[in-house]
Parts: sequence; structure tokens; C-alpha cells
Amino acid sequence: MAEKLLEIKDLWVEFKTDDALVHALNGVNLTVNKGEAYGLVGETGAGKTTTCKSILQLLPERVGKITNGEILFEGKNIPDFTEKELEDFRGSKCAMIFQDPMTSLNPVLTVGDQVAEEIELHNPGMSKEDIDKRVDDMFKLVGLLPERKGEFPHQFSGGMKQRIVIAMGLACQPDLLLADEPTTALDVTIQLQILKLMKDLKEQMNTAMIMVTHDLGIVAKICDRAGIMYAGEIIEDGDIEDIFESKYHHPYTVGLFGSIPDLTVKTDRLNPIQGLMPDPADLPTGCKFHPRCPKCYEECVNVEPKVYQLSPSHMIKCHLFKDIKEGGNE
Amino acid sequence: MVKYIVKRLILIIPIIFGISIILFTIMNLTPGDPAQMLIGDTYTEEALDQLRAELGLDKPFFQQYIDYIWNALHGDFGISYRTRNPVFDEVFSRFPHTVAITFLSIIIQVVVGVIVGIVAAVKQYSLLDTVSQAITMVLASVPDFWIGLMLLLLFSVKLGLLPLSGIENWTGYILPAVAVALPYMANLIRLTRSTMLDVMRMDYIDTAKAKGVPKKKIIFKHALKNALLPVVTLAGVNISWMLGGTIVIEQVFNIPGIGSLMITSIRNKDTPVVMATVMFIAVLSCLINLATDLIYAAIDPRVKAQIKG
Repeated sequence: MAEKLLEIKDLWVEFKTDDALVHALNGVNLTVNKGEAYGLVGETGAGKTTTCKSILQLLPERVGKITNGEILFEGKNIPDFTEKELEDFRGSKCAMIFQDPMTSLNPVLTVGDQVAEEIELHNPGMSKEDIDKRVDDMFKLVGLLPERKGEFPHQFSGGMKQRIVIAMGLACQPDLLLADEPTTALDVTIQLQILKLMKDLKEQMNTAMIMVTHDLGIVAKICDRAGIMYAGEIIEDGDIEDIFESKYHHPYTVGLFGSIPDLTVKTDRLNPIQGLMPDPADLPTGCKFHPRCPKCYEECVNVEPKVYQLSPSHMIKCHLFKDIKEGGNE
Repeated sequence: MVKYIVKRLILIIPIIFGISIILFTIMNLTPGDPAQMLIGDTYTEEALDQLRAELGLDKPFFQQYIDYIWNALHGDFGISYRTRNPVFDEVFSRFPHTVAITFLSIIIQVVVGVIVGIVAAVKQYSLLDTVSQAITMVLASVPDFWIGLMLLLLFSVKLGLLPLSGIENWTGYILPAVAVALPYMANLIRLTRSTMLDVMRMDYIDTAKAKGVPKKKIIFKHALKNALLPVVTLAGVNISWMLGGTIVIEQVFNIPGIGSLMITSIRNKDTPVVMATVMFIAVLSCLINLATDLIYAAIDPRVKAQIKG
């Protein structure tokens, strides 16, 4: 059994705004083992980014609040950390790569300074030359010329900025890297480079990773395990084989796969999941997916489904699977 | 960079010419004859014509303008119609007062404005934030002469700490500078607070937090530099305004500054003095604009790239 690095237990997060109480996370359970890449898949608004921000305690002050649950990192509960402990934890144990490289670098500081700052913070007493050398190494690692570290973010292209952001994320060799849609803002050719880079780095440094994405292709390429998220819950969770090859799936996962166009078959229309993600300020009763679910029946409307374990690695939160016992994977 | 500065300095010349033409025309178009105003109630036609000739008012308009510019380019700004003193002396005896008040005032408003603005933004919704918001709203909406009078009442009349009027030594500048500064300062506080709040919501601040940067360093290293840009702009505009706009405060504190000179001169159609003061303020404003842009470039590398390129 692999060693657990991060374990999120029954996490509930709310955003309180003037008009509404938004239920962003509704009991998320998630485990990431050491050195493992976990894919977090879901539509916009499913709570993927909120999950990542909760791990680093970056929820907006006064508005976002964890109302229940634990986030255990190496057995310690992150929400209980003091300010000082959090500062030590962020960046050195757990780093995050944000969605949009265009806005996630500070425009008035040189990129080298921004990478060096992190190294300096987490390695007190390190000499200036060593820090410099480390920055050069990080630049080379992500395929950038170290000579360009004195330049400012506006002098780089989007793909290069994302490389800098990744260099920043990896500068202190964190145990866990949260990659929040690292390729969404980039065009397809650059996406491939970045993904390849991340996969290589993960293998070289043995960094565990949560890869947030809505692209199942990325999950297949990079991740060892994956969770499908819907309306603030993880509705299906399993090894990459469970998600891609098992014949049992949550109807939402089936819909997700069904919406990928098949290049070998000629069709006139794409096949999307009908309807929209529910308003998190006004969630449906019972199973949150029932208004869009093609297999919905009476129980789905009224009773929240339990989590059914189909195999030691594969779990689904759906009424359809209450009769299938463990080991039903084959 | 040097090329840019030289270019901007050269650009001041056409601006000054433009202003001089417009100003000279306006002064000529407004009704009233300076010679008649000067000569008083009892005069002979001959004496009046003689005075006109003496002041150069008998020549056609264009001739007058060209003469004026020609002399000005040679450092001769003419003789005041009203006092018959050289305009240069007249203006330069008064400018130091206005410049002193303006610069003391800009220091007060920027230092206090930025500090209070940052604290209010960082401790949003705290008592200090609420109180400072209320006070700035009052200060921004109350006229400066009222503030000046109240300051006089408190510090000069009741407490006797500062001089009541006029300039005998540097303490005389304090109250007028504060009175001028307060409304501008209120706006700077509000601007600093709102831009700081905007910047603190930026993605790169989250990035910095995610790196484990301590809060203080986030505020001063990552946020402040970005938030200062609009503040620098507003401070630059404020200086230009204050140079020409402390007229009311000069009246309240009885200071022989440039504002009161300008008003008296306009009223008496003392064209040479009006020309000299306005053009001097215009040159200073241009220089301050240039300084603002250079500070901008020093803060923001993106602006610097444009200036260099």
C-alpha cells in the first residue's frame, strides 16, 4: 500500500456573499499518495480550484470558509496551522501552479527575482550565489535560458510564462504540486510541451501532483488516479484503469466520455450532457446530478446516494450501484 | 532614456508658444483699457495717449505679441502696468512662497495618504478603515478655505502655536500647506485604498501567497509597487493644480503668493504679469508631468520599455 501524502476527509466549503450562500464543496473525500499524480476532472464550477485553494488555505478571506472536514498533510490538519506554519508549508511542501500564466506573475518584478524569492524564503542562510545557481538550474530544467532571468514577465510569451510559473512551483522541490489547469490558457502545441515537461519533472523529482483539468486526455496521459467532480463532490474516484476501462461508471462520467467526439465516426452533431451544472447557491435534493441524469429514478430525487466501493480502488457515488458488491470491476 | 527626456523637454517649447498666443489673445479681447485703468479719474487725452505709447498699447495686436515674445526670449518679461516694476522681480518675489506651500503640501498628502490608504486596505472593514473612510469623505467635500479658517482658529488663535498670518519664518508655511493638503490627501487615501484592494485580488498576489511569502512582504514588495502607479499620477496632477490654485488659501492666510498676484493682475489687465505667471506655471507643470512619467517608468518595467523604445 502506497504511503498517504494528502488526505481530504469530508471537506465542506462555503462562500458567503451578500446575496447568497454558495455551497462550493459538499463533502469532498480525496487521497493522494506520495509520488502519485491525481487527476481532478469536472466542469467549470465543480469546485476543483476551490479544493486546491483549500489545501493551501488560499480561500478569499471573510468570504470563503471551511465549515467541516479535515485536510491532512502527512497526518497534520492544515486548517489548524498557524500563520507561520502555513508560510513554511506553502511553497516548500506544497506549491500551486495557477490557471492563467498571463496574470499569475507579478508584472513589476523580474522573473528571476520571483523564482529566487521562493528559494530564499524556504532556505534561510543559503548564499546568494547558491540561490542564483538554483534559479539558473530551474530555468534550464523548464527549458528557458537562464540569461533571461533579469527580464520582466511582459517580455515572455504565454507558454514561457507558464514555464516560469512551473519553475517557481518546483523551485523548492515540494512533495505536492497543485496544478490548476496549467494548460488551459495555452494553445495546443504549447500544451503538449508543458504536459510533457510536467510528466518528466514528476518522474525526476518524484513529486506528487493534483492535476486539475477538464480534459480527460490530459488525465490519461499523466495521471495515476483520477476523481470526477460534480457540484462540489467527487462522484467517482479510481485508478486510471478504473476510470478509462471499467464497464461501471457514474452516469456523469459516461456523459463526459460520451461528449468526446470520435474522429473515426462521422456524426453531424456533438453529444453533450444535457442541461447545466446546478447553481451552487441552490443545489438540487437527493443526487445533485439527477436533473441531468438519463438514468434518474425516484430515489435519486429524494435520497442522497451513498458511496459504493466497486473494487479497492474504484468508488462511485450513485444509487445504480447499490446492488453491485466489491470486486464487481470485471 | 536621455533621448526621451530631451524629446520631452523640446516638446515644452511649442506648448509654451501655444499657451502664450492663446493667453495674449484673451487678454487683448477682454474689455477694458489698462492705460485708462492706470491713469485714474482725472486725465487729459494727451496723457492717456502718451501712457498707451509708453506701454506699447498703441501698436497693432500682432506687433504687440511679437515684441513681447522677442523681449521674453531675451529675458525681458516687460514692466508691470500696475506697479511699474520689472515683471521678473514681481513674479520671483512671490513664487518661493507658493512653491514652498505646494511642496510641503505634496509631501504631507503623499506620505499620509499612502500610509493611511494602505492600512485601510489591508485592514478592510476594521474600525480604522471605517473611520478613515468617513473622515476622507468629509475632507474631500469641505472647501479648503473653511479648513484653513478652522486650523487658524485652533492652532493660532486658541493654542497660539503657529503664526496667524503672513510669512515671517518657515512656521508660517505649515498651516497653509496642511489646509491645502487635506482635501487632496483625502482623495489620495481613497485612491490608494481602492487600488490596493484591487491589486490584492490579483492572481499574482495569490501566487506570492502560495509561495509562502509572509503577509508584510506581500503588501510592500508585491502589492504596493503595483498600487502606486495611479497614486503617482494623481500626486503629479495635484502639484500642478496647487501651483496655480492656492489663491483662496493665500487670501485666508494672507500670504503674498502667486495666486493673489495672478488675480490682481487679471483684474487690472496687467498683461505682462499674467503672461509671465501663467507661462511659468505651465513650464513647471510640464516638468512635473515629465517627472511623473519618469517615476512611472522607474516603478513599472512595461512603461520603461515604451520609453526606451
